[in-house]
Amino acid sequence: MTQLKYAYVIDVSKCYGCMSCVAACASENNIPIGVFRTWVERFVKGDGNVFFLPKICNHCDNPTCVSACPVKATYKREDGLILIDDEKCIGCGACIQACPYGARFQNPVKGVADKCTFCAHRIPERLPACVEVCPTSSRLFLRMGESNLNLSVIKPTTGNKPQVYYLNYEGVE
Amino acid sequence: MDNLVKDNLLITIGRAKMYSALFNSFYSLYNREEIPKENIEALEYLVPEIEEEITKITTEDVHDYRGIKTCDEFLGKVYPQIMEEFYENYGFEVKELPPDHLITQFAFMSKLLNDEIQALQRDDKNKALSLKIIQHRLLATHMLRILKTFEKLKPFYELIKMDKSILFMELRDEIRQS
Amino acid sequence: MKQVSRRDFIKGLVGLACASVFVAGYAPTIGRIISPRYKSVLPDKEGRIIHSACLGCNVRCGIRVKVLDTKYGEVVEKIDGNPYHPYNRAVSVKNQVKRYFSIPYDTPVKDSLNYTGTLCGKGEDGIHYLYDPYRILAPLKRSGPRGSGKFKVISWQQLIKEVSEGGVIEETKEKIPGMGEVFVYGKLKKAGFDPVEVLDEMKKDIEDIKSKIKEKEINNKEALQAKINSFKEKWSQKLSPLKLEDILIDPDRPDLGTKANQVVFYRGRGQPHSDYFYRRWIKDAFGSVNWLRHTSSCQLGYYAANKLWAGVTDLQMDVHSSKVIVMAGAQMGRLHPGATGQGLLIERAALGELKIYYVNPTAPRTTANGNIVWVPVKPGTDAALAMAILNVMFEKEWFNRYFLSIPSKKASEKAKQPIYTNATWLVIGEGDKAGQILKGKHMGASHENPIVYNSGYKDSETVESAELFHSGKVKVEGQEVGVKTVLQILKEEAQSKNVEEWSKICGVPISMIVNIAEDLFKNSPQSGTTVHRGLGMHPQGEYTVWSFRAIDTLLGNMHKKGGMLGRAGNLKSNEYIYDLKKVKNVSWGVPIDRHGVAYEESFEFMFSGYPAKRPWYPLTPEEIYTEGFAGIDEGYPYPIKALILYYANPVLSANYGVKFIETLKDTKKLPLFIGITTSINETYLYADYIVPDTTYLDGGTMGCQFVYASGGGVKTLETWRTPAVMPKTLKIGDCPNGHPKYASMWEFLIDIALHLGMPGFGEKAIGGNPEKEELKDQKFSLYCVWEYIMRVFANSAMDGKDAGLIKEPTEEEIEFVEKNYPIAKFKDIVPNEWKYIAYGLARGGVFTSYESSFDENGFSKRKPPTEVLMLWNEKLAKTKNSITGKKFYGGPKYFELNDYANKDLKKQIEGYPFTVIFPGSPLFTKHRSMFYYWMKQIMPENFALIHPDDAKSTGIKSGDIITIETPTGYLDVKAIVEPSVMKGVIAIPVGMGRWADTAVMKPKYFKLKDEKINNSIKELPNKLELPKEAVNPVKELDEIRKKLLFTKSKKKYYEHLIPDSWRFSGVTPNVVSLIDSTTGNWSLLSWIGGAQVYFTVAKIKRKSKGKTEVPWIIW
Repeated sequence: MTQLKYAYVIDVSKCYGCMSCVAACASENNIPIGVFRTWVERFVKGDGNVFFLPKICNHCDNPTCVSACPVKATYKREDGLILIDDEKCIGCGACIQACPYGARFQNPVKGVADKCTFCAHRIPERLPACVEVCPTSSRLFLRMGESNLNLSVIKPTTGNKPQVYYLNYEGVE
Repeated sequence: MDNLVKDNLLITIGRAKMYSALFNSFYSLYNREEIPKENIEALEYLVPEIEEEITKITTEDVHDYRGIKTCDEFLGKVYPQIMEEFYENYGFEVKELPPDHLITQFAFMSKLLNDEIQALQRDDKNKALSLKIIQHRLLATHMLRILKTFEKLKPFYELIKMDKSILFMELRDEIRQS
Repeated sequence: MKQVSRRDFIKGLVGLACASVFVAGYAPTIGRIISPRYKSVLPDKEGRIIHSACLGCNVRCGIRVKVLDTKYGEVVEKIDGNPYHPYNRAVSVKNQVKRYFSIPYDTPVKDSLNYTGTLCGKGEDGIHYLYDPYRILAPLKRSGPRGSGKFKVISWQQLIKEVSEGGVIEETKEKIPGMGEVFVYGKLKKAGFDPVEVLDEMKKDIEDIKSKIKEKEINNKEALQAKINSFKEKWSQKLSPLKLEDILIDPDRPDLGTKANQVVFYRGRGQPHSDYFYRRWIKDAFGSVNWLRHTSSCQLGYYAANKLWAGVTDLQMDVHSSKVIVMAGAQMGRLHPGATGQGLLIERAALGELKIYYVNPTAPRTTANGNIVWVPVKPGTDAALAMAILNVMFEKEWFNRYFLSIPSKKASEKAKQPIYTNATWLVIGEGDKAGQILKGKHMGASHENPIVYNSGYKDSETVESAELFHSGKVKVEGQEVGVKTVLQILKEEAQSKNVEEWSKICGVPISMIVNIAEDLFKNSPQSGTTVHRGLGMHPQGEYTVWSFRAIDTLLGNMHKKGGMLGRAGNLKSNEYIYDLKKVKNVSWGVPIDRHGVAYEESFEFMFSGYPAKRPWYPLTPEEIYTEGFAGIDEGYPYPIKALILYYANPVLSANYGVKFIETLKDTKKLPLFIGITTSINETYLYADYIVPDTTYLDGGTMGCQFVYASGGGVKTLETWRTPAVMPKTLKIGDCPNGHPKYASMWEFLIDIALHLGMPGFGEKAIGGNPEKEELKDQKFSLYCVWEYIMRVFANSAMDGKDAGLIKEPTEEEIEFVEKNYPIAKFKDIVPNEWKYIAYGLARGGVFTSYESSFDENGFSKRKPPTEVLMLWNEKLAKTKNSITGKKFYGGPKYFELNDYANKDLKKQIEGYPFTVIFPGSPLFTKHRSMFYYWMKQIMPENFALIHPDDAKSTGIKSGDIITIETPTGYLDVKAIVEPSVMKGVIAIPVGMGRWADTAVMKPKYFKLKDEKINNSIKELPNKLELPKEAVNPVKELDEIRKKLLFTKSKKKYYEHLIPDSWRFSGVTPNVVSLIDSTTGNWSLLSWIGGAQVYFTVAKIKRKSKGKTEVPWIIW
């Protein structure tokens, strides 16, 4: 499997739950109400302190979703992005079940599987809509190898090799 | 088995009749009319004791068989609009019945299958395939969801689930080849 | 039923296919139910791009709006941030981290497209506001009794005629007066007088009486009555054939003003230039003093406090260079610079550049790697926290001695400090001058300068520094009185309790208090307080905010880089070339809400003394909703004829606003009620006429927007708002210059003015700048909004050009604006200034850079917001409470919660163990954001947050419905249990709980203890009856366009209005807020500002079991 050329980095300490990333994605990609390509979860710790955790498709290097598709509608591009061919997808939902991160959903308007595309129609000349709009630079879209920060990933034990990295994240799944 | 599967056109016609029969039956129930018996006859080809199951269903029941009843979250309340947009996306508009109703979906399947028959008759394999894809999407995303929710619809759930699996196999094989 | 195998199934299908069973008979039915329609149509050409200003909330960030022109109409496709605007700050592929600065103002527009600005969710969601299906597009008139919900469409001409001359509600036979009845200027003119001359002289006569009262020349009822009688005699003669009653509200009370004051103009969400436009209309052109704003339900407590302290209403910490901020009573994600601009603060904190102490009963939204520290505080006790911090600062001498010891302007100039304080001034402690500042004249000198102590009592202008702490005795007019320095008084107040006692009151541990004090001092002057409604919207809120600002004073952070700053400067948009201010007319009198006037200055005082019938608020800087409606209800100080309400919703959004319903329904107390709005909300339900308005994306609230403190620290910041698309409302005609007029606030006011013959409208209405020789004799017409607004931009542009900010634009840039901006169509109105306007429009405003906004000494280049900071305000100390007659305390102080007359509040709140607060969140603004569907899908309803310990002791679990009982009513709401709110506090995020927005859904979640108000709610109509053609800009678009915009929303309401449960979900706690028994059971307000109180007290009880439906609780 080709490696992802890009590093999508989320700094959890900067996210303060304004939700503009969700709105920008919905606007940019015409997402129906109620389903999300990217979303932000809110957690409350025992001492009452709050943190927000943005989530998105991890464009894994070893994706279980791609192998689950019976009609090969979902594939990994040469630059490592995982995309869905709308024409081929039959809406069976196997890939949605196969994703351990809950990143995929059934698009109720088209009846096909849907997920974040890193705004494939805009990059690399422009940033993905969610990265661009963030008031705190909590989301970054870098080239792989551009940073050597202390990064972690969500659910590293799935074996999927998720390629979205988290900074300052204390391990709540 | 192979002989049967290769006979694509017959299967498609059979499916078209199945969905027409389902539409007719439930539409009659919806309007508190008697179900014309040829529909029951048709369905009995597929589910032998189907008449018994149908008689259990009342008009009041049928009015509940909608997407909006399958979820009680806030988002469930926009289900009719989502279904409308689903049909619009494929170039159709819905009238008379609530767009998220099961009967509407049966009607849509009938329409798609009739179009598929015409496509197969003029040997337009691509068109037929694309129509099959839409059918599968409808069943997987919306129809099974409603059927699963209601106890009295269990036999129909099994029926449609079976139909979907046939469709799935066909699609998987056809698309893999191309 | 047995399972069918796949083999059998296929066999069955084939069998069925071959059988002669005929099931196709229903084909026509199917064809009727599902029929083909055309597929997606792509837009015809490249989209347009406009830089404008957002109005998702009131912060006024920049936006870049992309519009597609299709054969079905204009469609706003996406909204991004504006990279030129300091709040949005620029982002590009190469520039992703440290989103601190915007691109340079002179960046060519073409290059700016390589960047975007950040933007919050509400800004992104503006599309849903523009195309809100509940929008009214045509003028409406009620066709049933007030509040029946029946409206019909009338023509624009009929609207203008009836509102000016009066009309009849045909269906009920009610007669409605017109505004012309009280247009005194017009009456005088018609009778052959020069209105300005007559009114001017009348006003002078009244001012004369007033000054005689002040100087005690008139000091009793009889003397005053005699003066009034002679006034009446003179003017009855002079005005003949008109009578005094035709001109004055009450000839026996000429101080109340002319009858024009009986038209009251209240605005809710005002903005430049709508504010300046209708202020000119109502105050100058019409002649009424009643131009009133929603500030009492906004941030009036905070404003009034700053006014007492610094003479200006708005000051906050610099966001770029501050090192330690105590953010108290301010919401992360709401306070200026807003959810967008605050991103900078959060990022800086996360990167360790800034520490924020988040003093708030609810937890901050991130701890930013430990740099945002939650300091839970008991709501309403924040003044105790400030006093505790001050106590520590005084004890440890953690204050800027040098700065505080500067006693006068002269000394500060010598010290090269732009600002000084009155810390060293002396306050007289006893006698009849108690509370006043000791001045030279008191001690027999000829000057009036304050006296300070520096080896003896000296004139503050003659010394460079003075003693901070001093108590002594001096002889004032023969009597010996005690005097103390202002700082001494503050110190004694702070030390009136020890730190432990203060800590107990506010609930903040001593260690944290000391920590904060130390951190502030060690990092001063780049440290200080950023405060807002949590502190100010409190019955003694002004004193609370002032106590925090005392901390800033001690730190000496004023007007410095990294310190406390006021608002950014803006340009002279009202007067640089075209005089958009002056209109020749005269007005005077008491506003209906009695703001800005002292009771003692009214003639009534001489006759009635204390208590005043209703409170007067002389020191409040802005206006008061509650008192306005109470005034209308009680006809005090006078009855009114008409209310024009613009972009407002006091019934819902003002505390206890439901009490206003009875007044609004009463056609005797309120004969004419005009609503200017985009939808019929909980208040407009009771209007006689509805004027459809435009939104910020289609021509509403256009103009040059100033921004609030600290304005990004930059010297000049002005966002320019122009429409992205032409108005969606009805076209109502053309201007004589050929440009189109659309139904909106602008054209409504212009057409009334033309109909009534108001000065300042029509031919030769706008003059050239009277101070510029070449312009002062020129005159321009005003027949449509474009003739006004283009001149606004011309003023700003030319001021900007002369200030060196606006440069010569390139041909390319002018072309960019002319191709993309709808407003460019009207450039012919301002041919001499157009190219400079284009320069500003291309960038979405006028902005300066942060770095260039400070001088080499680290002071801001802005004009200092004030000369002197006051820790004792003499004016306040001399002002008396209009009900008790007692003087107010003149400095920062901790007070226990009390009502206006200092009587009953403790009794009212006794026995209610919880405090309910109503915090905001970045997802919504107040109640006008229920159409932000991208936000609503994340937070469909609100809830009451409760601490686990409280939940345990009351047997409540997350998801249960609980009943909250406050002293005024009961509220049912879903409870969510989490430790992000302090013990003893219930937080209900504000913004939901609506029941009318062109559709009606009767609220079931609250019940008031006042039966009368309950009945008003019961009497709500079940739905609004209005014609379909009057509503909904979406229906004009073809279905595919709707899908592009609304793949997300109900299509049903495209056709007819059914309640959209998302818009009407949740609760609003301010319907059961605290009231004041000492002011007639109207909403409890603060003493000085008349600000509402943003918390109430409660008991809670579990009502029923429930479960949480959404996977994540987000607010």
